[in-house]
Amino acid sequence: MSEAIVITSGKGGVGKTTACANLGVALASMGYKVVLVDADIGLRNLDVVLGLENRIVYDLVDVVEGSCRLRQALIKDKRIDGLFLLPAAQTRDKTAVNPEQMEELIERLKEDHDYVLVDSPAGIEQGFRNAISGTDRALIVTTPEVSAVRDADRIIGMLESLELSDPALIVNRIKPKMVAKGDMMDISDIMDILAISLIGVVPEDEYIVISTNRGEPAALAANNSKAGQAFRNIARRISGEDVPFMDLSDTENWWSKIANFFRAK
Amino acid sequence: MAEKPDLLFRGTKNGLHLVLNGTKDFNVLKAKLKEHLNRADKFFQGADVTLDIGDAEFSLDQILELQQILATPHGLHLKKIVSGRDESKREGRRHRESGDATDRSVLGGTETEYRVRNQVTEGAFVYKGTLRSGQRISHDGDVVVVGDVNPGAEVTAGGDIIVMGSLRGLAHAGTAGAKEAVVVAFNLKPTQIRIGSAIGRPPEGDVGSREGPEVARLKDGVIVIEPLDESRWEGDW
Ligand SMILES: Nc1ncnc2c1ncn2[C@@H]1O[C@H](COP(=O)(O)OP(=O)(O)OP(=O)(O)O)[C@@H](O)[C@H]1O
Ligand SMILES: [Mg+2]
Repeated sequence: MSEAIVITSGKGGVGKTTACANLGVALASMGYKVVLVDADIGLRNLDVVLGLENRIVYDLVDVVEGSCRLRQALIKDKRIDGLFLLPAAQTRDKTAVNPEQMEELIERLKEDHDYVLVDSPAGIEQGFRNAISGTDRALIVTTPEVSAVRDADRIIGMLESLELSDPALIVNRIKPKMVAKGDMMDISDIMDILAISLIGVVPEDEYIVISTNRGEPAALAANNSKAGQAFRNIARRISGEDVPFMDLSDTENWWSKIANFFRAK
Repeated sequence: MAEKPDLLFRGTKNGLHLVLNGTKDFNVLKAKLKEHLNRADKFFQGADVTLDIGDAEFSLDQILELQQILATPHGLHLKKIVSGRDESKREGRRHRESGDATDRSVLGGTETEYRVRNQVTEGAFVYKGTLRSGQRISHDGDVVVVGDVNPGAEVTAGGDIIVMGSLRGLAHAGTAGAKEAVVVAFNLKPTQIRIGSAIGRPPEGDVGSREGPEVARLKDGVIVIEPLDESRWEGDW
């Protein structure tokens, strides 16, 4: 029953790596065995966000080229049971791996893990094609900006033609106050264009920046940041639970609007 | 009966699927193909291409010419050629499973197939689904989209364009110079509309949203937009 999920976007810097790390932490905290695959070869940073950078010996390219065994390259997170990272190579470029090799790698990882989460590079070039290879499902991350939504649309079109059907959307960095003032696209504006299912909304949260710098993802159970909570909810939805949308009643009626949007669907 | 567009690109697991309407003039097709490849930035670089020539039969020289256009400067490899009208068999993968047509090798190599079937069709091209950013339909006749045309998507038609959904991208009707061509959408909010050589943009700023289907057409050389029900439009449909 294991599932490989790619986390991707059209525009860069919208929060894929952040989402991947946090969803990995959240799913592992729920008791699943999870491996995070950094497919952003040449620009790795999932290890940094997870605080595992100094433990890297082997990487994804080493595994694919047979320079080490898969098990040797997997880094086990010491904070949460069942969370592993397969780091990207920093000194190689994306042509070091091809889609067929990625597909085989993902298959092997699925044998031992409940979830394989693949952190994709942004855009539509070879790195993207590598990242989606072998995955069962895609999560698209966008911010509520016209350009990011446009690029997300493009990626969705490509995924559809690549037969990776039924992608779900994460809207990241939404600012309730700006939405309320009409200065930011709201969820229904975005859904109107993208017309795919919404799996979560993550607010702009300073804690993400702090936690990223510390290498301690916000979804670690010990803290109760809003973004961390949002990622934990998305993780539960990934696992098939029907989680109602956050009602953070201290932040205006904006959240209830989102909740209504979901109910209306 | 639905006709094919002149040219349609689709990505598939097995690379790029390129549909050419072989009933069209070869030089026109070549020009369109070059234009599309130039637009497609570098995404297609190095991809394998399955060429679907639909109803027509190309000469070996023509095939080689197409192969050349794909290869330089775009680095695409023509891997397979299919023809035949049946939509369900267009897909390279599915195609290989069906063995009901005359297959013969044109380019040599095991992957190359060439299916011959002659059947001329005519009418509008109907696209079902959302046309997303970066996707483009180009067709000499009328085009009907049963779905939305998103910002960044383009529809080009020799005749009319009818969008049974929201038109938010670019629509160019009457490319062949038909001044009576129209663009109709249930919700008309295009980034740009062109009819023949006239170009219309929505007015600057938020004009408040008008509800209901609208039609854009040429009036004294200028594109005007009117509610569909009120327009005293004497089209032939
Ligand atoms: N919800 C949030 N609130 C505040 N900051 C955020 C949030 N999500 C992401 N960020 C910040 O945005 C920046 C980009 O995030 P991230 O690296 O996850 O994006 P990415 O999509 O992986 O980028 P790339 O395309 O370069 O791989 C980071 O500095 C991160 O801390
Ligand atoms: Mg990243």
